[in-house]
This record gives sequence, C-alpha cells and structure tokens, in this order.
Amino acid sequence: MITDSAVNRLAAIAAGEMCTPAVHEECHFDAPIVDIEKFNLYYGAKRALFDISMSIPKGQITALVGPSGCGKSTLLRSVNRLNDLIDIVRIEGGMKLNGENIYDPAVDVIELRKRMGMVFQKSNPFPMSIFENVVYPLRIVGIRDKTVLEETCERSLRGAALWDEVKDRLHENALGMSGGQQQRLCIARAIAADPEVLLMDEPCSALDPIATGKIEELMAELKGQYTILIVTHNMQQAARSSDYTAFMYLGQLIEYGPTATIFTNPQLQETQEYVTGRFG
Amino acid sequence: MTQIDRKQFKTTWSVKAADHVSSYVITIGGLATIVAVLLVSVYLFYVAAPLMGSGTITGEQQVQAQVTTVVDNSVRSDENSLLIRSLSEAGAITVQRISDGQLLMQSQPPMAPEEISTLWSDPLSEQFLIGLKDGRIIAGRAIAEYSIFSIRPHDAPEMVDGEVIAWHDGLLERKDAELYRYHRVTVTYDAPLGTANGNEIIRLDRIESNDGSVMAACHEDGSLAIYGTNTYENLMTGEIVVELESTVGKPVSIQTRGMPTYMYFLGQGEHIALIWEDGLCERYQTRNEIRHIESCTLIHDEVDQAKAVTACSLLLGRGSLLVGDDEGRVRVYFLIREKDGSTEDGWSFRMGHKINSASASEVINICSSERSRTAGILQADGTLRTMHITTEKEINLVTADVSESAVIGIGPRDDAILCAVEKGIHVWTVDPGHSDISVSALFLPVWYESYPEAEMVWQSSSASDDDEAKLGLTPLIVGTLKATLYSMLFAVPIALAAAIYTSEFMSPRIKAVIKPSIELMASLPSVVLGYFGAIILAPYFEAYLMEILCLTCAVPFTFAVGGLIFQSLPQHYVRLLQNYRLFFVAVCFAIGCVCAVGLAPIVTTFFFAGNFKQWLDGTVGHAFGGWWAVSIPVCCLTLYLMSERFVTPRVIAMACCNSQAKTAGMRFVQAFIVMIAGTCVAAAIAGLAVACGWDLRGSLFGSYESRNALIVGLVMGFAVIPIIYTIAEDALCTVPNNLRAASLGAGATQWQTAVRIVIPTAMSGIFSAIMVGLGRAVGETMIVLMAAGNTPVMDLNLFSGFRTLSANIAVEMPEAVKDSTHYRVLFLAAFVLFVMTFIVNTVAESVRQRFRKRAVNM
Ligand SMILES: Nc1ncnc2c1ncn2[C@@H]1O[C@H](COP(=O)(O)OP(=O)(O)OP(=O)(O)O)[C@@H](O)[C@H]1O
Ligand SMILES: [Mg+2]
Repeated sequence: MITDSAVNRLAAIAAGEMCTPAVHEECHFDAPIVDIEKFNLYYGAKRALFDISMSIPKGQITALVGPSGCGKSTLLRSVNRLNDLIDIVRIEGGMKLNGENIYDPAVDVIELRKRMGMVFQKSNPFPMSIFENVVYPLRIVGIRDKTVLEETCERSLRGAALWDEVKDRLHENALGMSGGQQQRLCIARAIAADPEVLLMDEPCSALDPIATGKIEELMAELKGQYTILIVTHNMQQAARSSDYTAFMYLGQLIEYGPTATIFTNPQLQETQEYVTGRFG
Repeated sequence: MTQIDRKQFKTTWSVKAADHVSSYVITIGGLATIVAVLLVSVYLFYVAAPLMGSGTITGEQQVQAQVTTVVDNSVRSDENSLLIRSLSEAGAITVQRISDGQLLMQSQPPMAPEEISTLWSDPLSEQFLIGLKDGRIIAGRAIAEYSIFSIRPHDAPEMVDGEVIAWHDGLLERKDAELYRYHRVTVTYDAPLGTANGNEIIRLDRIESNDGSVMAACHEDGSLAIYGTNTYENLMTGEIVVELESTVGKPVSIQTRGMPTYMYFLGQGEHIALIWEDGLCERYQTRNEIRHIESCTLIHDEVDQAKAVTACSLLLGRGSLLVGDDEGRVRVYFLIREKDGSTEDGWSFRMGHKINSASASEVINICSSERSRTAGILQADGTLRTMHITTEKEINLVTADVSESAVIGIGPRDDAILCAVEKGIHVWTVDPGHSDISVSALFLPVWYESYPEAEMVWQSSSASDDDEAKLGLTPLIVGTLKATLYSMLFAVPIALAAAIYTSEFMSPRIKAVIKPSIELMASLPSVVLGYFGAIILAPYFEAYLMEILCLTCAVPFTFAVGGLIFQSLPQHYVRLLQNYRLFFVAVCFAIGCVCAVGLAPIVTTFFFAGNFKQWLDGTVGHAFGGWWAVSIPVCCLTLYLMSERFVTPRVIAMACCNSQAKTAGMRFVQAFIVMIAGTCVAAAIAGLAVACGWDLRGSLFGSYESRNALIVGLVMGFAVIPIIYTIAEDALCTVPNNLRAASLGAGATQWQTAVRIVIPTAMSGIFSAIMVGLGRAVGETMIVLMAAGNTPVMDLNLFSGFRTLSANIAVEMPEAVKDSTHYRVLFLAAFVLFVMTFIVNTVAESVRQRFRKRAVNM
C-alpha cells in the first residue's frame, strides 16, 4: 500500500509542483564525467524535463529508472544532443562532459557524439554486413586501413560477446541475425570507436533472459573502461548491474543514490514503493 | 469488473460482408486492369500484324493465245481484272476476257506489218509507239476504262446482279438494277509523225514531261535523236499541228558496237541510257545537245560477273534501272550524286540492290508495277517472282511453262501477275499484302532510290507520287530514346538532390510547404510545358546559348568554391553562419550567373572560333576546341574528387598541428593546382581525340536548330522532376528513423547518414522513382510534339530536333487512311512504344525487387 505522504508528493508533482530531489551524499562526485545542471527540456510548449541536476561518475554504471513517459530517454538523448534534431526541442540549463559545456554553440556536435556510444531500446542494425555495421563509426571518420578495421571489429564483437557466434559470417547481412544478436551487434558498434560514455536506452527490453544475462555480464566487463548510463524498466537488472540509480517521475528527478541504498533503504517512500513494484 | 459477454465480440455480419465485397472488388479490379492492358496490346498487334505477311495468290486462269508473240511490257490487265490485252508484232492490240479467253476486240493498225521496224510499249503507262521503216513514228494508246449506265442498254440481254457478258467490243457487268458497267479498252493511233531523219527506227522510248511528250529514237544510220513534240492549233485553219523538234547526236559507241539492246529515258528525261547486251551502259545528257556523260558496266560487281544482259526494265519514276543477267540475278542501279565529281554532272550509276535467285537460270523478262516499287522477274526455269525492290521482299512466287519470248506484266493495282507465252497468257490474281514492309525494312537500314547508301528513314508522305514512303521506325525509336536520355540526364540529378535535401535536411515546417508545391508542378498540363518550351524558352536559348551552357558549369563551380571557403572558415564562425546557409547559396548562384555571362564571350572566342553556332555547323573552328571545352569541367571534377580522396587527408595531416588558416591556404593551393592540371589533362584528351579523328560535331554536337533536344530535355525534365521527386522523397521518408538515430548517435554527420545509410536503404524506392519518371518520359507526347521540331533525323546531337514514336503517332494518325500500310505502321509504332515501356517497367520491377530483398526485415 502506498503511504499517504508518498501519494501526496506524487500527486503534487502531477499537479505541476516542483519537488526537491533527494540526492544522496555519495552522489556528489568531484570529477563527474557528465555533470547535469538545472537541465530543462521542452517539446514545443510541453515541458519534459524539470530542473534536473545530477552528476554521472566516471567508469561506473548509473541506472535511470522511472515509470513510462517520465523522460528517461529524453534525458539520455540530451547527453549526446540527439534531441537537437527534433525541431521543436528547446533546452534550458546546462550539461558538461568532462567539464566542457555540451550545449555551448561553439561545440562540434559531431565530435561530441563520437565520444559517446549509444544503444537504443529497439535494435537498429544497418542493412549491411555485420562487419560494416561494427566498423561504421570508423568508416565515418575516414579510416580505411583494413587491418585497423578488422582488429576493431574483432575487439568490439568480443566485447559484445558476439564474436564466437558470428566470426564465420562477418560479411553476411546483419538483418539475418536474431533480435538478441542484433542488439549485441548494436552494442559492439557503440563501443567500436572507444567512447568515453556509453548511453543505453533499455537495451534488454526486447531480449530473453539469457541474452539479457549476457548483456549484463557484458556491462560488468565494460565497467571501469567505460562510463555507462543505462535506462531500464527492469528493477532486478538495475539492482544487479548498476552502481548508482536515479529515480525519475514525470520529468523530475526524485531520488538519486547508490544502487544498494536505493533498493534497500531509500530516503523517500515513493522510491521504495516504485522499486518494490508497488506502483508504476 | 463485470464479465464481458463473449457474444459481443463476435464479428458482425456487416463487417464480414464488407470484407468479402471489398476482396472481390479488388480482385476483379486488378484482373480487369491486367486484361485491359493485354487487350490493348493484343489489339495494337492485331492491327499491325498484316504488315508482316507476304502476298497471297487468290486465283489462276489460262487465256488462249490469239497471237504468238507479244511486245515487251505490253501485257496488261484492267483494274477489275476482267480484261487482258497485249500488243502484237503487227501493231494490233488484242483484248480478251480473262475468265474464258474470249476475244473481245482486235484493233486495226493504220499501217501494214511490213512497214513496222520496231514496237515499244511503255512499262509504266498505257502508251505505245510504233517505229516505221521510213523513219516515221506512230504513237498510240490502249486505255482500259469503263462507262456507267443507270439503266440496261436497249441492245443488252436480261442479266442478273453480278453477271458479266461480252457486249460490243468489251464486257457489260451488272452491279445491280441501276448500275451497269461497260468495260472495254479504247485503242487510238495518232497520225504518223515524220522525223527529219528518214532512216529506219530501231529503238524507241518516250517520256511525258512538263512540256509535252519527248521521244528518243535510234535510227538505222547510228544517230540518236530526241524528238520533242510541239502541239499547237493553226489559227487560220483551226487544225491541230504536231511538230517535232529534234536534238540529234551520233554516239560513237553506236558506230563501233552497233545498236544498243535497250534505251531508256531516266528521271524526267534529262538523261538517256543506252545498254548493250554485254553490260555496257552509256549515259547521255539530252538537254540542248546529246552529250556522253559516263560509261559503266551493269553486270559486273566485286562478287559476280555475268556474261550478258538478258532483260531490263525501269521502276516507277524512271529512277531505278533493273538489269537481269544470264545467271538469274537482277541488279538495281540508280543515279547517285557523287562528292568526288568523277563525272561531268556529278551523278553516277551505283548498284543499290542485288536480287539473287535460288536457281542460276537466266532472267528472261522483267516488268514493273505502275503504282509501287514492285517488279516481276521471270527466269528461264519458269519461276516468276514479284519482288518489292527497295525492301528486297519477295511478294509472290509462281511457276509457269515459259519460252525465250515470254513477256510478263503486273496488274494495275499490283493485283495480278501476267505471263504471255506462245500458247496463251497465264493470269494469277493476287493480293500483294503490304509489299513494302518487312521487319528488316522497319528496323534496319534500307537503300532507298537515289540515296548514297542504305539508311534508316522515316518519311511517310512525299512530295510526288513517284517517291516511295520510307517507313523506318528506327529514327523514331532513336528520337524517343534521345528525348528520354536528355530529359533524364537533366531531371534525375535535380529531382534526387531535391528529394534528399527535403527528406534529410529540411525542417518539417519548410518541407510542409515545399513538397506540395513541387508536387503541384506535376499537375501542369504537358501542353503548357511544351508551349512554354517552344515559344518562350526556344528563342532565349537561341539568343543566349553560350551563356546558358556556361551557366551549367559556372554555377556548380561557384558552389564548390563557396563550399571550400565555408569549410576553411574557423569552426565557430561556421557554426554561427550555419543558419544563413540559404543566403550564401543564393549569393553563390548569383555570382555563378555573373561569371557565366562574363565567361561566355571568352569561351566562344577561345574555343569556338568566335561563333559557336557556326562552329557547330562545322564551317569555322577546329574539333580540338570543342573537345577541350567539354573535357575541362569533366577533368577538373574527376581530378578534384580524386585529390579529395587521396591528397586531402595528407594535406590535413601535414597541417594539423599548425593553424587552421594554414590548412585552408593549402586546400586552396591544392584546388588551384587541380584546376590547372585538369585544364592540361583536358587539352591532352582533346589532342588525343582529334588525333583519332573524332569530332564532337556529328555525334554529341551538331548544327543548331531552334527546337532541340536541349530544350526538350529541360522542359520534359520539368514534367518528370515532380514525379521522381515525390516517389523518391516518400521512399527516403520510409527509412526508419531509428537508423538515422543510430548513425547520428555514432557521430556521423547528416550528410554521411544520408549517403551511407538512408539512400542505400531507400534504393529500391529511388530506383522505382527513376523508372516511373523514365516511363513518363518515354511516352510523353505533347512536350516533344511542340518543342522537338519533329524532324525524324537520327543522331544524338544535343542541338538538333527529333521525332518520337508518340509524337509521330499524334501527328500522323489523323491523316492515315484506315487499313493502309501507313495506318498499320503507326499501330506498329504504338506497339513498339508499348513494348518499350513494358521493358522499362519490367526491368525496373525486377531490379527493385532485388534492392528490396537486400533491405528486407527492416
Ligand atoms: N519527439 C517528441 N515530441 C514531443 N514530445 C515528446 C517527444 N519525445 C518524447 N516526448 C514526450 O516527452 C515525455 C518523455 O518521453 P520519454 O521518451 O523521454 O519517456 P521515457 O521515460 O523514455 O518513457 P519509456 O520508458 O516509455 O521509454 C513523454 O511525455 C513524451 O510524450
Ligand atoms: Mg524511453
């Protein structure tokens, strides 16, 4: 049962009131890789993100959770400025990557995106060969050296735990693979260019438990080397694989803290309710 | 929650019914479309099919002989194939009924048989001449005609409809109670004309020219005389006087070799040809004086040498000479204008056709038709063929018992074949079909009379009746392809670029305005576009041709320079200026226009000897200039792209540690070097092309006509652009957005995303867009009709007009007589057009399927 205070706070947010997020002590990092400061985003007149402030630690896995439509994907896409392409989007506030303002008009967006890899909710391999899919980020910067491409391909595919399955058919069309393989291919593509940050938007939502397990193992392996920001609806997954968890609701950040604390002893009642599956 | 009643979710009756009905309607509609298309093509083919058949024989009759030998060319039937007549050695015309050989009439010649020295019957008309031993000439004619009675003549017996009886000296035919026709041959002999030369006449020929008839005669003394008849009325007595004016010559050959076997006026009578049995042919000029022009031999060619000329005739119009030899071949000669001037008047005999025979037996007799270029060829083994000479198509083949003196003839409507031997006259009634059409005549070069070589020509109507219709479809097919090629060259790049720009780069708000307005262009009636091209555009092009051509190079060039400048600016400026891109594009365009106008006179002077149109005509300048001018943009572009690929990364790598200004400077130096190199390479290519003897004039370029392929390409391009644009844009839009997101998320630019991901994915759609545009361009009628000039010439000249299949059908169908050869050939043209679009669509579909297979599962 939802307690009264929780119901009240969520109702207040739904009514349009701002609430102060509960950001744990542990989440004030000295040198965060991504630092979000009072970030607001509007789709035309509709406000989708409200004064989000949080910092993402380097080399760790941070999970974004929250009910559908709360703005997780929007926030994730703001980090690599994919939202720029939507005409009606307007932003306020700022976001820094290694201390450098992402939304500075002088920033080269293309260079910025090259420093981040992105994995989408729905797998989206290109209609070309597996090899070409993986080395796409290298192709677009103009690398033509065959050995470099081949090495990168193998490394990325191994990284995405796909190498053994596809090493004999690298030049077949990627669309001939299973859904789970396709998603892992997308991960391989995302890590091919050695990004600093890996943005993953519900990477396992379409996968079976075995594939999900593989991807979770993969994240554990990648951790340290890459910073991972992952959106997930699967509380077990967040609990299992992430180091920090942020809970969002209707465009606002509600609570942000170390995963263990969020799942066992959150500061707010509504976080407790949500992570235990009692609402959402 | 209340339990929902399951019954509520049962599909209702009306939904099921609607489902059924709609599925039937769709099936029937689809099938009906296929059937309709098939029916159209079957109908087109059905109308055109009779063209391909040869002639058929419909009946055969043997007419008992009345005289043993008949004069060459004198066997004739009438238009209704009721009567047959021939001229005997005694100068009498014998008229017989074909069906039973009954003798109907025999004329009384005004001279005794002993007086006659020679007889001549015109192969192409009903005239004949009798030459007498005293040098006089009697002209005569035997004209088949009929008179009409609306009641039964009083001395005729009772008849039933369709009955034909012998009556007076002809035949009376009852068509119905109110229409009787009296068929007969009227024979007249004119009063003898005395010639100044009183010697016996050996050879005769006669031609009707504008100023009366002209006769040629070889007299016994070896003189060749041309007699012009001058007919006038004596004012005092009212008597009609015929006077002969003569031009006389004494050809040496007649003195040395004896009388020629054949003598013919050629063309309008300006030449006369004398032919001896051994194949020698001499041509004389007849105007003012008789002068020898050329000699040639008619029975020898590179392959075969025959021994003797055994038969000779002229084709309709007296332009072609048919020469049969003792080995069964017939060679066809006509006069061709020679460039090298080997003869005095610039013309000389050339063999245009050679008709071989399966058997090597001698050609006994040749006759020709009065209405077409058909000739009959009789060989000693009895084979009698009718052939269409121009197309070398065999129309009919019959066999008869023949002797040396056999004489053949063709009915006045090509509807009978006649063969007179001692025993009698053999008559075959035939249907010649479409004798002048064969597959090879339609699609391959045909050697028409007086043409210097075999050519593919479309000329369906001609100035004079003697000229044959030239129905080669190839020039029209080439015209269609030319229109399609040039309009697609113009339309495809623009339409695709526009589609890519709108789908990938344009903001949705602007797109919402731009796309419908381009689509609106498709609704412009093509007649308006054609009118625009022909009336408005054509004069401008004529006046500012060079400026417009320069524009096509100058504008892309300024865009490229502008792009280079933009790239070289410091990064933060670029991002600030990004929003004003369109303004810069406009500026580049304006500068391009100014450059083009400034450049045009320089280009004209430098490359095209100061006058582009005269250069195109080939009267001034050298091939080199054209090659150079055309190669420069091509070479510069190729070299630039190559240097971008191979040199630029190195330049950037070299300058990377240094300032951006330095990189920019080096890029400019690189571009400049590329341009200089491009110009030099272009000069080398031009030199090479000239050394090979190639000239752009005559292939891609040529004389300027005010309505030309350039204008059609442009205007038809405008008709095709909206179609290609719309379909291609839709195809690009259907590429899932998550692919774009993936590419952009990986750090690709929008341009890279478009080129590497979106376009390949949408390839099947883009391809079908091009093919739909192609289909439209192939079938487009109004624009080409109005803007292409409609001259059916066959070349790829950008600056000349042409005629397409569709425009040709539109122009000529109203004037074609139903079921005539012309009419059927137009249907065939429609069928060819149908097949062409069908092929385009089939190829398009199969290629599209292949592309689609690659992009499946998305
Ligand atoms: N392109 C867009 N235009 C307008 N509104 C949008 C757009 N994309 C998202 N939104 C709105 O922004 C809000 C946040 O959407 P977002 O996709 O970020 O949610 P989410 O948390 O990722 O949900 P889910 O868990 O279902 O993926 C939603 O209310 C959605 O309606
Ligand atoms: Mg989402």
